[in-house]
Amino acid sequence: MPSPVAAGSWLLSQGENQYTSSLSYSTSTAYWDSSGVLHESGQRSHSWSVNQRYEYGYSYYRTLYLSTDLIHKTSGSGSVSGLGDLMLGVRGRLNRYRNGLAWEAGVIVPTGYSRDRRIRLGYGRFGFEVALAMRFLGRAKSHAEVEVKVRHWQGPPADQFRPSLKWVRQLTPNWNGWGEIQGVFSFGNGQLESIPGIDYDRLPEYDVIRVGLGVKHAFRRRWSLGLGLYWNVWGRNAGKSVGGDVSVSRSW
Amino acid sequence: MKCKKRWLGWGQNSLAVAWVGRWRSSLMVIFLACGMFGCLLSTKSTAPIITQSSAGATITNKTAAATMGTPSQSWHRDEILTFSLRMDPVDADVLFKKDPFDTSSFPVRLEEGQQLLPGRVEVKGSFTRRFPKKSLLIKLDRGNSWQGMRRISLNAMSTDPTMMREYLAWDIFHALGMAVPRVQYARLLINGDFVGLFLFIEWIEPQMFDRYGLGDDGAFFHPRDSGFCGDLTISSLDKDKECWFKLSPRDNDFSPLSALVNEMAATPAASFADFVDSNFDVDSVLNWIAGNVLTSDNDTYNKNYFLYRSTVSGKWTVVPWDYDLTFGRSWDPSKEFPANVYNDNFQYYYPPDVGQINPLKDKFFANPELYSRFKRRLGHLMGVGAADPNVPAAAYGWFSPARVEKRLANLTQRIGADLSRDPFEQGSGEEYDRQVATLRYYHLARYHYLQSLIFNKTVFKTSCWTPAMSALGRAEIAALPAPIAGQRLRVPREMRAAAELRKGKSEINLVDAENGLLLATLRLRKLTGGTRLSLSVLAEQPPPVIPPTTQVGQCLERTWVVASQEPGGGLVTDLRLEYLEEHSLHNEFGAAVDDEEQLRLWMLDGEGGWQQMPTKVNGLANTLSTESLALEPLRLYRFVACVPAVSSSALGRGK
Repeated sequence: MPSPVAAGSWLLSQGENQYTSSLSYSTSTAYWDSSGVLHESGQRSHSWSVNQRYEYGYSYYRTLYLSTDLIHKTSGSGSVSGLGDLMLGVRGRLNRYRNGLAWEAGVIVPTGYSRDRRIRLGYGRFGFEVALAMRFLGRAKSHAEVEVKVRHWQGPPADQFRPSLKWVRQLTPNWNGWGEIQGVFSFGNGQLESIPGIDYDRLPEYDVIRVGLGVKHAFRRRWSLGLGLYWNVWGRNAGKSVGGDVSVSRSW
Repeated sequence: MKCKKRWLGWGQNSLAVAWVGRWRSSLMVIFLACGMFGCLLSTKSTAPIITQSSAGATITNKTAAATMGTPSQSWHRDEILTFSLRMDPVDADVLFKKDPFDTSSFPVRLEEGQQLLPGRVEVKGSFTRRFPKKSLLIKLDRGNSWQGMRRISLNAMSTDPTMMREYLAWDIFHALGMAVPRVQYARLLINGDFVGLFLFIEWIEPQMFDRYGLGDDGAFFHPRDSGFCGDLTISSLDKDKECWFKLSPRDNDFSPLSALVNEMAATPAASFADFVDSNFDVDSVLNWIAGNVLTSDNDTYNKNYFLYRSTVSGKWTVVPWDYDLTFGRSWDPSKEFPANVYNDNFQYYYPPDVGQINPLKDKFFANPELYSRFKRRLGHLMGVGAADPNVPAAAYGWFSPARVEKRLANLTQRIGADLSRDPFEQGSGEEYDRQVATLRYYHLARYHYLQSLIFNKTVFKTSCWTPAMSALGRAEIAALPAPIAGQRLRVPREMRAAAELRKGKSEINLVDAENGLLLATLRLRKLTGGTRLSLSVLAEQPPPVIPPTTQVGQCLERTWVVASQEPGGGLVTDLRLEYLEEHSLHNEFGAAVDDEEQLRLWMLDGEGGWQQMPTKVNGLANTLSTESLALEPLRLYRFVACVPAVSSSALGRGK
């Protein structure tokens, strides 16, 4: 799967805009089965995606966000390209005086891609998510970001619990380094989903733990450039993938 | 300190000549000033007529004020405005308590008579956003205006404990008739509750220049505040550094600024007067620099000013900006915010080219013609020498001690009631009084300092101040070893001053002739006959003799020796002595002086022993005072200042 749309603890100022474009790539040659046992898949799968994310400070109390992926996936001899899910959401403050303590609510809108293919761009179902996100200042110009999120779809996919912990350290005034651990854990209420014409059922229910690290460089005041590397270190019904992304962000 | 200082010896005769010269000069000032007043009045100058009022200066000639460009509705500088806002109580609460760098705005309605003008309010400023009392900007919706303005800017003055510095600085520029924004004190009420006293500063935009007859279609630039690089050097044009904002017209055409900067770089100092005359409203440059000199503004020339190129005159006009860190405030290079700006350091002795490097300023001072004009403009404001016919006559003596004293007293009275009920507790009580006393001392000391450096016929040497008459050239100064970053700076030296004490003169200022430092002030209570008093100061060095019960680390690294040099001159006086605390790396605190408020003066009488004197400390102005001090003729009195005994472990600690 492409990297999950990140939630955030940070609310923009009223009237502030932020646009981020990122290019992600991941690849794998092995997978964990439904019991968490690792197997070689005998083929290399690739996934490219270009994510566009826009946030807007609607008011001091609310930030709106919109995000979508343009995806290309190959696995063995099959491949698929197209627009992935659209995510629309709103972020609000948990503490009216402080930034970095936020709730988030969003809807996941499929964009009409086929969900009948063996490789697909998303679940093809409407869904929604709610999240809590917090940022804690640490010592030596560092901070931690903690986030917990729950996703629910209309249909077979299992509901998911998605926690993450990120630690950010200022390396120089313009460079930050970060390390992150993310998890996706299904609640186990997923239903088998058949794929018409392919005599094949699949269980859209998986778990994965991913670690990552990267750097971010701020330049020209309102621009930033990010580079991240990710590894799936444990999973169930999930590929043992490794990947990275490059992102450019601008706010105004 | 930008440059290391070098100090020369002292000649007693030269000081005597200087005093006489000053005395003669004063007579000449009065004579010339009187003559100049008559001349200006008889020629019906178009400059606004500004008169001294109870609190300073006000524009009293409305015709002249309109010519000057006063906003459509006449205004009075002494008047305290009231802005009453209506807004959601939660928004009002959040506005002052939210994350300081959040730039959100909130809906608001401004009461204007029976009307409620809709708009939005936001916190403005850069690092001052971190103070509890926020500076605010009210933007009225299109189609609404308050006295012709859609933007209302209210400065909280949080960095200035006196809440007077900005006002006083603008007062100078108004007195000089500059094209500057309207400035008045303003009360702010939100939902009927008094929020505090603010300083209304008109939002600077092309319409303001239009009022001054400069048109509203000129190119308008402003150095980016956090860039610290808008210094008019060629490198300031580097697009990646983003040193400049273009405020109007809203396009990316920086060619007028580029042309100015490049031509400035190519112009040698020798012909810089012609360049300035051709390209600038020269009075705006003169006034800006003179104002920066008087206020000792170290926070400018690479930021904190506006440049407007008028299509009417075809010239650039400078508009000064941001004078909170002035009038004695001293940046501390070794401390973190807020202590780096909000501290009890003090300085009045930064030379006239105070401020960051900027070719406009640097070549200006290096050009004899421009320096001559500057000297006349500064003299006009200080009330020294002939009046400058190019600026309003009423500005003559604006910075003189007598007028400053009156201005500060009236200003304190005028805003006192509002300050005392300021919910941010910004300006009341003994601490506030001490802050104002420090401001008063700054004016006095700066006046004498500038007079010594610029107007007295004495040889002076400072770190950077090297006009043509200086014997120490820039090459020599450049050859001096630079202070080592992060290490305490010490410049041990001896300074001297003397004064003739005669009946009829109760206030005596003892100014070092070479450095212009105000070493001591006397307020005479009793004088028998006349006498000559001399003062010698050993500065920035441990006192060679200290009271027997103290250790040298307990004392200031300064010694004062006072002598009444003529027989028969018995004297009782209040004595105020100054010491040095420019910042944490340049001060005179001994290793165990942790709290300067605990300093006590000790006096060694030549015929007695050490005695501790009743001492009043002003740790902000860095002065020590003792009252009713009796000095016998032909005796030497040695003073040191020490804190009470502390444990030996503390002696290695230092301030």
